[in-house]
Amino acid sequence: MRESIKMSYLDLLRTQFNNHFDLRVKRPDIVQLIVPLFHEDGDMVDIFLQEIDADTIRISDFGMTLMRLSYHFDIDTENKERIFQRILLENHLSESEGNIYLDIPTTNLYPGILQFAQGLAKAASLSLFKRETVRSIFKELLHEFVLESLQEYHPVFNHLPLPDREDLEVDILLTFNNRSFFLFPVIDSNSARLATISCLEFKRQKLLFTSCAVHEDFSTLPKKDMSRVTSAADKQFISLSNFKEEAEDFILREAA
Amino acid sequence: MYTDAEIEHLISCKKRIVQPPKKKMRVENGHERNDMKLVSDEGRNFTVFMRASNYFPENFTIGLKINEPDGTSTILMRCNGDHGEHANHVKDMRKFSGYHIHLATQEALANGKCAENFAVPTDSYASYTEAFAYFIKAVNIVEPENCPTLSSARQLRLV
Repeated sequence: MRESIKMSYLDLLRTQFNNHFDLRVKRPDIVQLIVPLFHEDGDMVDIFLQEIDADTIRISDFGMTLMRLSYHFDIDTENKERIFQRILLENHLSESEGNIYLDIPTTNLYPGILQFAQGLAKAASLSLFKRETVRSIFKELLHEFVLESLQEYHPVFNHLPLPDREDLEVDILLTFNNRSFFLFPVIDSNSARLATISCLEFKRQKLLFTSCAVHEDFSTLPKKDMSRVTSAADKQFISLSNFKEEAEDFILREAA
Repeated sequence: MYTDAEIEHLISCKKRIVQPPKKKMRVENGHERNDMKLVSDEGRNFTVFMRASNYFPENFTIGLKINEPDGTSTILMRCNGDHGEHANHVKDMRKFSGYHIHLATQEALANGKCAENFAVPTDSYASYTEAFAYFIKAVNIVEPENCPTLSSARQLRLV
């Protein structure tokens, strides 16, 4: 980094970080910020600075946040990708090939660093990717699509086909040509098993319906659950995109 | 929840490879990665994850996780490269920089903190390849020479 910029902002940053601050040359044009900002495992937040031009500094993590996240799980579904991108957007961060970055004027270096660190901490935080969050966002997206695009099939949410069995709830009921379509969102083993039990009981009670399992990601379901839900449900949509593309055609063909 | 003695045992007990690493590290999101699965003589299941930054190969981690029957996992040990500073939030509350090894502790687990928050500096290795060799011994993988892809997993692609 140009010496004049480095020196003037080094002194200011040192003051702003209460002298708990240092820079380490990582590569010829990249310096690492040594400041007391830490992840929950005790490792310092990875913050690197590069000069883009005379007035702009790029603050980056050089892929360290996604690498850290991969110790526990991968962003391998649409839902998780959506959560991740939402975090970046809300914190005004950009991402390219795994590198999360923020370009800021040199005059805003300190608040920019804090904003960046806060965004990284959220992105690296496991709690936001916890099953409950992922599950509720998937259902929310499914409901949103049904309300926007399948209104003509008279959607009913949390439908109870057997009034005395409140434990067997259908997430979404669609109706067309007097045919009933029961939609079950499946995110994990628990929801797969509930869908299976529900379908089997409805069949046992001789209800007339077509059951559809809408998977968050079919490929991540354990084999036994995959096999059970495949055997119980009439139709599987392997992902939300698959459902969006094919649901209406399926309903029209089945009810024809 | 594990005691310190149980954690030490889980790290050092004999383990054999049941799912070897891929022949080549995979490059994704700015880092190289590989994984393998182990099982101990007592039937406990483990995952080893290997990660190294494409941008800074000295920023790496080789970690051991125990996989629980309910689908959760706990990181027991992580051999880290020289990525910056580390601050312990349990035990000695020390702060240091350089190569270090994260270890799960009873105290961290009992207090709801990140399991492997505690770390100790190390001079046992100074590169990913050296850390890999150290790690294989530390987690007691039996007959590593019988796993053909293990030797290639110790090398980074450096693409």
